Order: sequence, then structure tokens, then C-alpha cells
Amino acid sequence: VSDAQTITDLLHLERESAALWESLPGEAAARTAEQEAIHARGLERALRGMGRQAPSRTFTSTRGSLRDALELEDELVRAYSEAMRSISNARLLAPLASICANHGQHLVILRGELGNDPLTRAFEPVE
Amino acid sequence: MIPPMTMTRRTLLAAAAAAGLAGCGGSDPRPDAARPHVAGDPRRLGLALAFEHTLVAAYDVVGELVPGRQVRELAEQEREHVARLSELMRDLGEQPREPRPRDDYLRSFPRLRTRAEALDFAADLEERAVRTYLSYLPALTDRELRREAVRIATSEAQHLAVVRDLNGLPPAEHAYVTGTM
Repeated sequence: VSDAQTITDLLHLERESAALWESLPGEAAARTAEQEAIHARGLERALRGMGRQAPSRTFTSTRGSLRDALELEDELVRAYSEAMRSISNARLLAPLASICANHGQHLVILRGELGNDPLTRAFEPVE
Repeated sequence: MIPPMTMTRRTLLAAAAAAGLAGCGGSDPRPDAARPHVAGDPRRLGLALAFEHTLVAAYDVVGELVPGRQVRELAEQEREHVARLSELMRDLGEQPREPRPRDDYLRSFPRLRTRAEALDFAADLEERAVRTYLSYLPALTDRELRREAVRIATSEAQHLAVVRDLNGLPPAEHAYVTGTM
């Protein structure tokens, strides 16, 4: 899998997540939606840096629940951690890992909101 | 006897940096110049392990001012990181280092008087832990080790979120926990 394809796949997930968070009420959800949008813009810049065009947006609106957000954040953490195996450009590793870490923090927020223990695992994602 | 310090954000940051450095000295594994790619990965694992030992010691101190289940869980997860890093080092044929005597760590920590100071100190250490793992990523030659490093870095970022929340701050402050894209 090329770096550009990996970044494109991550971008689709970020856009989906941003749209989902935008549909959720509250200040924390709005802040998280903005963070997802920042991630998406960073990935778009990375694609442009590779001479690629970012794909057009497909997630303009959606409705979701906290539980949907939890599943999507978990999927994001898994996708970014898997990217560590496939990414060839070493300069992308730290920024992608930094985004992964932020998604891990979103999981903490969501677990708390859902009444669960925020710290369920010493390793994220769990194998 | 540790001299009293006036706790400001700046002194806590300096203390966190000193504590991290204190954990990284002594018998650190040395890079092998003849085999840089082979030796580099265990060296970085060894440095990360030293930092994890520091975090375990720090949460012992923080827990005295912030009692409760969550700080105990943080300490337990740091011990799990120690165990995992030790296992990875043994897999690479290296002997993982043991923690230093507790007093060595305590000497490098600031004197913490309040719950807020303890949580600021923990937050600074966690942020530094995330930075440490991220800074090692481009140099790790083994792609599986990169993934392991990110799994632990993400866990440390979660610790940072929990500590900030305990301190009455938004858990996820920045879209990039460290750095920018």
C-alpha cells in the first residue's frame, strides 16, 4: 500500500468522524469535531505534498450517537497504529502518531461520557 | 533534604525534564557503531524503559496527594509498559535495566505540596513521555516496534487526558498531542 493510499484512507475516516462529532451536542463535541477537521486538513496537506489531489468530501452530514463515535474513534486509533507498519516516509510517522494519540484521548472522553472506566487498557489499541 | 521550590509552570516543566533525564542516565545501553541499525532499536527501547521507571516512581509520589482509583490505575498501566518494554528488549537479546533506588527518583522530583502541583507534575511527565516515543519513531528500523511505540504513546496521551481532567482542564487540549503536521 502506498503512503498516498494510506493517507487517503485515514482522511476518509477523519472526515466521517468530523461529521459525526458535528452532529453531537455540546461544547466538548464541537471542540472534538474541530480537532478532527484539523487532522483532515493536515492529511490533505500531506497529500498535496506528495503531488496528489485530496479526494472530494463524501461525508457532509451524518447523525450519530456517543457509541457510534466510540466505535469510530477506536477504528481511527487502529488505522493510525497500522499505518506505522506501512508508511515509508519517516517524516510522516511522528505527526501521524501525534494524531493517533489525540484519538486515544477522544476515547477517554467518550468512555467517561458513557459511564465506563476511561482507562481500560495499558496499550491502545488492544491486540 | 530537597530544598523547597516555588511551584510555577516553568519550574514544574524543568523538574519534569530533570526527572526524565534522571531516569535515562547510568547504565543506559550504548549504541553499537559497527551495527547502528541493529543497536539503535534496543537503545531507544532502553531509554523509553528508563522513562517508564521514572513514571512509576512519580505516580507513587503523586498518589500521596491525589488518592483514588484513577492514579492507582495510571501507575499500574506504567508498570505494564515497563513489562512490555522489558519483554521487547529480551526479544532483541538485550537485558532490560532495573529501576534505580526510589530515593534516586525522589531527589530529581520537585517537592509537591498540593493536589494541583502533583497533577501539573504528572501532566508534564506524561506530555514528555508522548514526545519521547514520537521522537523515536522515525529512527526505529523495526516496523513492529514502531507500532508498539505508538500503542504506548497513545496510552500515555490517555494518561495525560485523565490527569488534565482530574485537574479540572479539558482532557484533549490539542489536535496534535505534540507537534504539527
